This record gives sequence, structure tokens and C-alpha cells, in this order.
Amino acid sequence: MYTVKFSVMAAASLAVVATGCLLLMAQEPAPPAVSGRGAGRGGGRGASGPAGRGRAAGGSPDKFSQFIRPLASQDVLLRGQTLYDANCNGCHAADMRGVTGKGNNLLHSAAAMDDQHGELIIANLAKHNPPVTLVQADGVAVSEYIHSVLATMGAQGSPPGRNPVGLQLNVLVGDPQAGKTYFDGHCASCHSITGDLKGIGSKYEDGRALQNAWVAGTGAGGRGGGGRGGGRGGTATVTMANGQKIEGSLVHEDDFLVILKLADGTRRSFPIDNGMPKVEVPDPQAAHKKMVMELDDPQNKNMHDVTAYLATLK
Amino acid sequence: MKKLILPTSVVALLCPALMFGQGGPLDPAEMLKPLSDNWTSYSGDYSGKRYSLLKQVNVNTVKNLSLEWYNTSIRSGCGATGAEPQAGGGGGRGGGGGATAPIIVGGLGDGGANQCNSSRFEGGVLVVNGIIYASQPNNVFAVDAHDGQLLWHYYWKVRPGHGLANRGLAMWNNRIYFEEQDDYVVCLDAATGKELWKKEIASLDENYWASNAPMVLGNHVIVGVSNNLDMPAFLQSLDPETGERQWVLYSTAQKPGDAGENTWTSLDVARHGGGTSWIPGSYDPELHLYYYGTGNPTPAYTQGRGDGDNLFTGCVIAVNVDTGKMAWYFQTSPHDTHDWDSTETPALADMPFNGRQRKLLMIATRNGYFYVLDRVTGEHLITSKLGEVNNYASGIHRDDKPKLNARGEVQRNPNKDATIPGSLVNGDVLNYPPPSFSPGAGLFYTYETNSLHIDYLMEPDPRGSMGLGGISSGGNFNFGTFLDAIDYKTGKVVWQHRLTNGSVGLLSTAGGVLFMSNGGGIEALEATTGKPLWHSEVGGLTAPPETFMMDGKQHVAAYVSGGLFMFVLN
Repeated sequence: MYTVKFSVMAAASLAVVATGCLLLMAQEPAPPAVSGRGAGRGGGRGASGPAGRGRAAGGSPDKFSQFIRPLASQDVLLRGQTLYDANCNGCHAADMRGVTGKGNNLLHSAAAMDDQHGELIIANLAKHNPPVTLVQADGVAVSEYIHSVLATMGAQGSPPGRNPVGLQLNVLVGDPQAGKTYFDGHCASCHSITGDLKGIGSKYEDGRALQNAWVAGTGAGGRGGGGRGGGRGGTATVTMANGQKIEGSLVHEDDFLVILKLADGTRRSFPIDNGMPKVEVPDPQAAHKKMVMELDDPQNKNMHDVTAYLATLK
Repeated sequence: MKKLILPTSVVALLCPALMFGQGGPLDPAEMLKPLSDNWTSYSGDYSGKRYSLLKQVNVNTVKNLSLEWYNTSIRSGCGATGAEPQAGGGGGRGGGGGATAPIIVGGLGDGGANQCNSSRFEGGVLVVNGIIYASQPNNVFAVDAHDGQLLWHYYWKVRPGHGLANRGLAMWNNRIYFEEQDDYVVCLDAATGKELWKKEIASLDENYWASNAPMVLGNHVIVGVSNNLDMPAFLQSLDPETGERQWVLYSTAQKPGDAGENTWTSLDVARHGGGTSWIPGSYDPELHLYYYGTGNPTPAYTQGRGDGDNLFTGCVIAVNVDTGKMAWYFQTSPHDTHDWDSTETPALADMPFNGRQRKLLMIATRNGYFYVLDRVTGEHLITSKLGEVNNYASGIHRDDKPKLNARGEVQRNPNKDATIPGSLVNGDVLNYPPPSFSPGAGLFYTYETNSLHIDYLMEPDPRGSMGLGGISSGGNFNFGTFLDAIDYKTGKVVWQHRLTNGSVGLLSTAGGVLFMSNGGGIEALEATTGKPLWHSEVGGLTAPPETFMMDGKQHVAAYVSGGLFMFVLN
């Protein structure tokens, strides 16, 4: 952990422990704790009414003032909700995201966000069209209620709860018979509905999970799509200039060095110069990659059909 | 550079930088030169090519690059004074017996929201007259490029908000410019780190945050911000002397009659339609045009913004820096439905094209397309597809062509938008890590990540969702990552090189070398062929490699998660 200055040192011999490449490849607003784009976000307004904060589990690391400000008392919030429902719902909607053609979305209203305890929101109410007449205390209560809902916004600007809950979104829209035909023609050479895929339709809680699993190659217990080859631990073959082939378990591979663990447990390293000696690392996912590419069609029909078919395999 | 003859102890007290006999202001005229001795802005020079004219390190000598020094003790501060992390472990800062560097404290918070002990440098590291100016969120460091000694540390006590990255610094004369996460631009004295002024550039209450590297273009400091609640996106220009706002350019219509308004369902939807600018662009000082990219529209994945193009999100924009007026635009992702920003840095070069010399702009964007434009007029010249499985606008195979509109812009396949039963679609083909263009090789270098996944629509409400809400993804399948060398005249990939992970940015040189992050460290390839030439396992890079001249020797800098590593020819 010190500053170190070298007089002469061959860089290639530097053995600094690699800290791992912490690439942040997601888009600018991506919070580092989130691995997917939508699944399992925390939040929600709290089923019992206002003042749900809901930003803990699975939420974003955002700590903007809307999310960390102290909320008003339950009494004030309940009063505010009642007033909101009576005066605002019709145009701004119960979820505050607005009614098309009637009222705007309050969840990205600058006045709502900049407001502290009603001063800006009440000022806006004073010039509201149609007129909304509230006494000062009621205006404050409505404002505090709006803040309590803003406090439940999801990561990266998504609305409270991020995705609606309780909706029945049907994924199984495909044709099972067409799916069987496709499966027989493209998948059955490697997979069997009486073998590795036996009962797959009952293994997953819903069609999305089933579809995700079989497309990713994990439905039959596979590892899912890797980058290139089997990676570390996979079998690799090095072909020397004289034609000798040396096989072993891949320990390390980069453009300059390959290390194998041989059958007798010893390690052997191979300096690589412009791609020689040649290193072959069979990709256990090669067939599945080919299948996934062939699966694609502009309408996603093949995928939906196969999913519908696999869902029948209870 | 003046030499002061004073007792060493006195000099050290006055200014650590002077003690080492280097540093000094950055002459604005130096910023107009092609990249060579100094690294004066985010991309090294205004062109965005990340192409150095230096040749000492070349295809024959690169194998002799040796480590000169490294410093893994430069860490972000936290707490009231910024000194807490260094007190506890790791042997202290500026090791090797050097004096403790001063910490200059600023900011409006109490230090409780600062992230302790980070050593991650992400981009926009400047090297000017032998001094490295590097940043992490809410921290700026001046480091002697000769030995890695920390000279000063500016620490900003940030208010709670959104913590992410910092894209780097800008310099002009004796001043350093820096965006703080809680929406301030701070101007520092480059010699001492002393705060000269600070200016609020957006509202923290409205959930803006700032991470962009400022760009000083003539008499303008260009800054951009990000937002998490669909608030209006804008670029603005500040006076470099005072920080006063000179102009602001919104990405979408903000008032009736603004350009692009009719590409949204309503003005209100347009105002909240996204298009943030969070990565620096490139600049043509002859044309006074700054070229930058805008981010995705919001809501990103769902209904709610009509069927129009949603201008000017997902665009390359040419703005006149003196007026703040848009000169032209080109939309890389009309009506984007996949969160595919166009914020990647364009490369500018004057090159022969179809028999005549043209002022070109080249950019590869997150949707996996490479574009060549005439940067004077915005005229579209080339659109070419990257990626092994890029199917959002065409068939899945590399040679399958997308439909283009009359402007040459890619038209997506709406059936590959998120749907309730799921769409099998490619992921981000690339992202903000900057490309490089070598005029000598005639090649544009970027990386491509090949993956498919399934996007499910989870918000069928016709109002759509907000921000990045409303979808779920699964079924990820990765087909590998490659470096692409693209012929700018045709848009075709000439050669590829397999990468073990994604890119953090690239650097090419007149010595015929291409530097990048690969394997467990920094690697050099032959720029014309992709032949591996040299590497050092210093750990995964977090910022693009940089090169500069110091004491008559070409240096190569690697910024790694654990610290700074400096290489030189021996």
C-alpha cells in the first residue's frame, strides 16, 4: 500500500495480485447492487396505506432527500391521503402518475420534489385549474402524503413498486404442438423429455421462469451461456509445433500464457507467441449457442411455442 | 516554467507541487494540439480519437516497457476531514518517506455520505507538465508523475443522493474543474487544490446527480448531469472564470414550439422524456462545434411516449459552443425501447472518403451500430452493424441488414420490444468506454459484447412506466466479447480480438500500438493486425490507458482498481 518507485524492472515480471476487473458496464444510472433490469425491486407503497417507505430490500442505493426525509405522522398522512383521494384522484390518479389528458404525473413534478412541507405545493394549488380549495393544514397534509409516496419510488426513476403486483401476465401464448415440432427438430438431439427435461413444466413457478431457464440452458441443470469455451477448469488441448498434443485442465489463459493442470496433477505452462502454440478449449455450450441463434425469429414465435410445449410436460 | 530558489522546507510548505519542479498552468493553446506530450482533457485532446502522436513506444519497443512506479495508497476520503481512511491501515499515503499531502476540504455535507477508501479511477485522468490530476467521486488528487507521490487531495463532503462514478476532470490555465455528485461544479487551483469557486448546476432535490467530466472549450466549461426521476435533461456551459451559466441546451422540448415537440405525445411527456448527457463529447475548434451524445428516452422500455422518434434522445448532437444552439443532430436510436444511449464519445478525423478529404465524425453506439457522418453538416455516410447476435432491428446474423430511414438512422423491429410473453433480443453491444481511431491504420477500434436475453413487459398500463421501470429480464446467454477493428471507409470489421472481459477504453498511437485492458491487466496489440505484443498483469483497468511524454521519455499509464501504475521504456 505504499508508493513504490522502480529503477529498472521488467514489467512482465511484475507479480502484482490482480484485483479483478471491476468493470461497470451498465448504463450511467445503473446502481451497482442491481444485477437484472427489473426483477425483484423493492418498494411498494405499503398495502396498509400511506407512509410505506419500502426502499430497503432490493432497492436502489439512492439517498436523495425524497427517500430519506422524515415522514409526517400517520395521522397527517392518512388525512392527506383522504384529501388526495377526494380532490386529486380524478386527474392525477391514485398512483399519482396522472390520468392521460387530465392531470400530470406528480411523481416527477419539480414542485413536489422541491417542496419541503407544503409551501410549493400549496402555492401551486392556489392557482390550480380547476380550483382546489384547501385550508393550510389540509394543504400541508396532502403535501406530506405526496412526499410519502415519492419516498417509495423505485430505482432509476421507476414508479413505486417498480412493476405492478398482482397482475396475471400470461407468458404461455405459444402453440404447444408447433413447439413440439420445433423441439423435435432442433433440441431433441441433445435433450429428452423423458430424460433431462422430464417434468420440466412442473419445476418452475411460472412461464417466465421456465422460459428463462430453457433459453439460458439451465433448465436441464446446465450452466448457462458462458463467453468462450469452458473457461477455467474445462479441458484444453495445446498443440505444439512438432504436432504433439498436450491435454489438461485449463488453469489460466491469456494472449501470452496458458497453464494446464495435467492428469498427473502437475502444472505445465505454455508461453504463447502470436497465437502459437495453438490452444483449443472446447465450448460445452456450443450446441446450445447454435440452438439459441436458430431459435430467433422476428416475432419470437419459436421461443413462445417451445415454452408452451415444455409447460405441458408436467 | 519558472525555477524558484528557496529553501526546500519553505517551498514544501508553500506548495508541494513546486517542490518537485514541475506542474504549472495548461496553456489553452496546448489544448488545441493533437494528443502528444500532455493529456489535457477527457480524451487526451479534443478530437476524441485517443490517438497519440508519440512514437518512442512502438511495435518494436513496446516489449521493453517497464514499471517505473505504482501507488496503491491513493484513496477517497470520508468523514469530516477526509483523512479517516488513511489513518487506519495500509501504511499511510505517499509512502516512501514523503511528507503527508494536504487535504483540502469542501462541500455542503457532513462527510457521512462519502464513500470511504475507494481507489477506483474511472476516466478523464489528466497529465499536464508532469502532474497527474485524477478523480474519484467527490475526490480530486494531484500526483507527481515522476514517482507517484501524492501532492494534494481535494475532498468534497457530498450530500446524500446518488452515488455512482466520476468520469474525470478538465483543466484550463491553472484551474481544475470537477463535477461533484450532489450537483456542483468546483474549480480548484491546480497548484494547491484550493477551491476557487463552486457553482450549483442542478437541483439535488429533483434527483439530479453529476458525474460527467467537464470539457473546457475556448471560453466555455461544458457540463452535463444525470437524473433518476425523469426530470428534464440538459447540457450547459459555464464561464471558466466565474462559473456563471452561459447557456443551457435541453435534450427535449421544454416549451410549446420547441424543436422535436411533435415527436412526443405531449409537451409534458417530452419535458420528462430523458436524454441525459453524462459522457464528454468531442470538439472541432475550427467549426466551434461540440459533438456529444444524449441518453435513452424515458420511460425507457414501455409505452407512454407515443410512436414518434422522441427527439432528441439517443442522438449525436452538434452544438455551437458560443451560442448553445444545435447545428444538427443524428439519431442513432429513433424511438429507442432498449435503454440504448448514444452517449459514447465520437471520434473526429479529417480523412479521405470516397475520393475527397472530409471532416468525419465516427461513433459506435450502445445499440451495436457504427456510424460515419460528415461533421460539418451531419450528412450520413455509413451505418454498419456490429455484433454476432444483434437482432433488435434486423435478422440475428452479422450480415443481416436493418431497415434505415431516409436519414440513414436504424429502424428497430417493434416486435423485439419488451412484451408480456417475452422478446428474445440482444443486450448492450457496447457502452461508454471510449473507442480509439488510428488515422495511420485507418481503423476505428471499439469492443462488442454479444449476448441475448428475454425482455418481459411487466407494466401494461397504457401510460407506461417511468424511468427504467416496467420490465423484467431473464434467459441471459453470453456469446463472448471482442475488440473490433473497423475500416472507417466501409464500416466493415477488418479483424477481431477476443477479450476476456469488457473494455474500459482504448488508446492507439503513431507507434502502431493499441493499448487496452485485457486478461488481468494492460495489453498492447499491433494496431494494424491485432497481434499481441506486450502485457502486464497489474489487475483489471478501470480507466482507459493513457500515454504522455516526460523528461524525454514516453510513459504509459494504467489506472487499476487498486491504484496507479506507470510504465516507461528502459
